[in-house]
Amino acid sequence: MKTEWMLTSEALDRLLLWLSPDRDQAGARYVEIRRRLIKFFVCRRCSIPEELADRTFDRVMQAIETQTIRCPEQPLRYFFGVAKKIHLEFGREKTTLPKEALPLPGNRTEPEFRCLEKCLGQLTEQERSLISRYYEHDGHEKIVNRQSQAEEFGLDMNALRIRVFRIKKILRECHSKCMAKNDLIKIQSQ
Amino acid sequence: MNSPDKITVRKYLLGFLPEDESNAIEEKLFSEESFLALIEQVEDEIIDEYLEDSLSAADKQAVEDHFMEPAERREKLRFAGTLRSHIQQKKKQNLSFERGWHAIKPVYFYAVSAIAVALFAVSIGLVMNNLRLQRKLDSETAREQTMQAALNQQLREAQLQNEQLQNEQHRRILHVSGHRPEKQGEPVYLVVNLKPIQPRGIESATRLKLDAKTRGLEVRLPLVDAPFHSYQAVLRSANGKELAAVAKVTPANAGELSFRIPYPKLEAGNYVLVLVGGDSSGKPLATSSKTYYITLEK
Repeated sequence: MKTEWMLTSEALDRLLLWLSPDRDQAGARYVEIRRRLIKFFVCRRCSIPEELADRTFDRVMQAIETQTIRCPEQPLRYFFGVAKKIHLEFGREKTTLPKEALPLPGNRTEPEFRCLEKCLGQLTEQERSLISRYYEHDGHEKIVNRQSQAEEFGLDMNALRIRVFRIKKILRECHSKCMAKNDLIKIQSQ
Repeated sequence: MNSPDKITVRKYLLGFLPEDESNAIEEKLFSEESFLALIEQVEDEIIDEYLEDSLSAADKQAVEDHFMEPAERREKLRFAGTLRSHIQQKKKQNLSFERGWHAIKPVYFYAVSAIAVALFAVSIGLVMNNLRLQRKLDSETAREQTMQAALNQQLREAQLQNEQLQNEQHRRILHVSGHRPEKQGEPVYLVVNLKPIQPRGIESATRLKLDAKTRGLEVRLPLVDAPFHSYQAVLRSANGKELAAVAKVTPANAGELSFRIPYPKLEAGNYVLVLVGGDSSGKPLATSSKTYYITLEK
């Protein structure tokens, strides 16, 4: 289904008001819902999860404008329902893309390492040490090392994994920004 | 499904869950606060296991065919691979540095130790030498002070002797110019100071003033040659007549011969004094005679 609806600032204001009467809180909820929508479309293996998330927002804003929302007290549930519809529509228009080869670990560029070095430098000493030790071993040595690391920090293995996951998330976001900046510089210099 | 655990989420992500269970998981994504984080964490773990090559064959196939389809996960995989190879590369660099360090460490350690020991030994040697020199200096200073004190003592003694000598010379001058100072009841002897090398002949005679109280001669003669054990002195008149004699006259320590010839009948005139050297028994030796001329005047 192709939508003719166009996003306006009034529509966005109405959406934010629907999410929360507090403007800041509404903004934070908007970001949170968008992340969940993207993850939903990723889990459904969509090739354009961000765009589908935006389409979902557009559809919800349209519904607010036309007052066709059925459960106004549960915005997240409403978004989930709309997202499933959007996915169905996307499934019908989806074209099969040629399968890409997975990125090999040894095939990395110098800017990638430079950005990573920079982002590692922004971590605290403890975070850097934790993530370095977590990934420096393989096989049986890895298991022993991670167990001793968890004991050292007074954590169980799951808590250690969560900490590593959080640090890696910070690093990944930093790395992504750094690479985007590098790409921009590259484009500007061309 | 109230709280799907990690295993269920893992199955969902790998496409192993039936549609109804998958829908339940997705519903949780929009209703539970922490569920998004759980999904992302399990995604990371699947990617890590894929890079570590620790997945089962079925899971690995599911990752490659199903899980890695979205670009977001491919980016995650790329980043995780970059992070892992960077960390392991750093680890290898550190290890090779440590190995290198361990390899050179013993040599370096022994070299530094040897230098330290050598420096310590040199320092100890210098300190000991310094102490030895200091002790030597102290001892030399003490010895010098002792010698200085001895020299001062000798100087004082020499000054004293000099004073005594000057007194003696003064007394002799008095004797040469006249008579010994007369003591109460003592006979007066005319002091005759002879020279070791006496020219021959009466013209070179030692001239002295005769006093009425003179009762003899007191002869003094410095000995320049090796002295004899004893001497015999004979006083003769100008015509060769023996007037008086003394035997076994022995030289004094200072190398001077000093003796008296008593002769109360001395008159003005020329006299001859013959000195003959002798052995330890007093026996005169023929080749040791010396003659001195004395002229007494009124």
